[in-house]
Amino acid sequence: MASSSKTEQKKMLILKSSEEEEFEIEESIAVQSGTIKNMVEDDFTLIPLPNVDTETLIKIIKYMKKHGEKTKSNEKDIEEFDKEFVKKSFTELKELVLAANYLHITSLIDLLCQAFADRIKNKSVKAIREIFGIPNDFTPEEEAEVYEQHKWAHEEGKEHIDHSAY
Amino acid sequence: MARGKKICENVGFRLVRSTSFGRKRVCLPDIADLDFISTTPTKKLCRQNSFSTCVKSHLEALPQDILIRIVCGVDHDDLKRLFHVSKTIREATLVAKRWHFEYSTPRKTLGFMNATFPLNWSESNDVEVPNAPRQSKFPRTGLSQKKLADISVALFTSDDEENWPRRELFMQMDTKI
Repeated sequence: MASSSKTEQKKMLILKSSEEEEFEIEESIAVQSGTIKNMVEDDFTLIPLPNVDTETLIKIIKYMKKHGEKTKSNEKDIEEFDKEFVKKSFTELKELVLAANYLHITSLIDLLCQAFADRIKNKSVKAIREIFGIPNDFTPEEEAEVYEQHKWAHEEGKEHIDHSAY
Repeated sequence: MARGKKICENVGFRLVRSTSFGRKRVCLPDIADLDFISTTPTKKLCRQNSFSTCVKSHLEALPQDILIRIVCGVDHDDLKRLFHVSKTIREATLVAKRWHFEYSTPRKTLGFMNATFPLNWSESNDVEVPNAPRQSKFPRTGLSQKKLADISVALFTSDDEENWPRRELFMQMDTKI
């Protein structure tokens, strides 16, 4: 809401998703994205984002709007927002981090990467593989070689290597 | 639009009415045909395959720089487990170990958050890590090399006569004390 005393209008941009859905957003908020900022500097007002689908773009706009309103008084509010923001499925988080990376929104990339990291913490090798759907591409010989080469990681012995996962 | 619909029908496509402002109709392939997959290949392939295949390789599909950022966010103890997950994850763990865990106390926030993230990993040695303790091959003490040479004693006897003058000096110093 613009103040009545101010004569300048807030510049609006249009962001277009890969599915050609268009969203209007204030430029001052959109430039939290380095990619968008560069395009604005090249005088774009309609910003096509072929790498970002509609669902993901909506979430990103929501994030940028919240963080665009950052003041000293609402820091806790934003923290709460961030905590809730990352409570999503792995697919959603993956799409978000890829989009945030493409858009160069550093704070969002860090938030999402930490969310992934928090889901990895204190999990066994097998659990990590299952949660993230990563197949084991080591042969038993390679596995033994890795163990030998990186003994620094195995001070507690072999109990963390789950051979039943092969 | 009608022609488009006809083409879609011929190759077994079905139309989905999109709610976009541009009123563009999106064709979803019923038959897995790689020629028609454009911007989001993994997403469209997932619709064709079983859900279990779709869930797989979430993490490995990410670019390596993001994988490294993720690994940098885990605790030190988790590194050893990540080493054994897969080759891709191991590579990311190795880089993260060099970058993050060797230069700062592992903590939740990234040590290099404000630093320029290098695009070329070969340049990593030239980039200074913020708040990194200075590491040098030689211990920094108040003694110069010359002073060290004067008071040092050869630990191993050798036929090298250069060692003898040092020993004498040491003995002289000892007696003075």
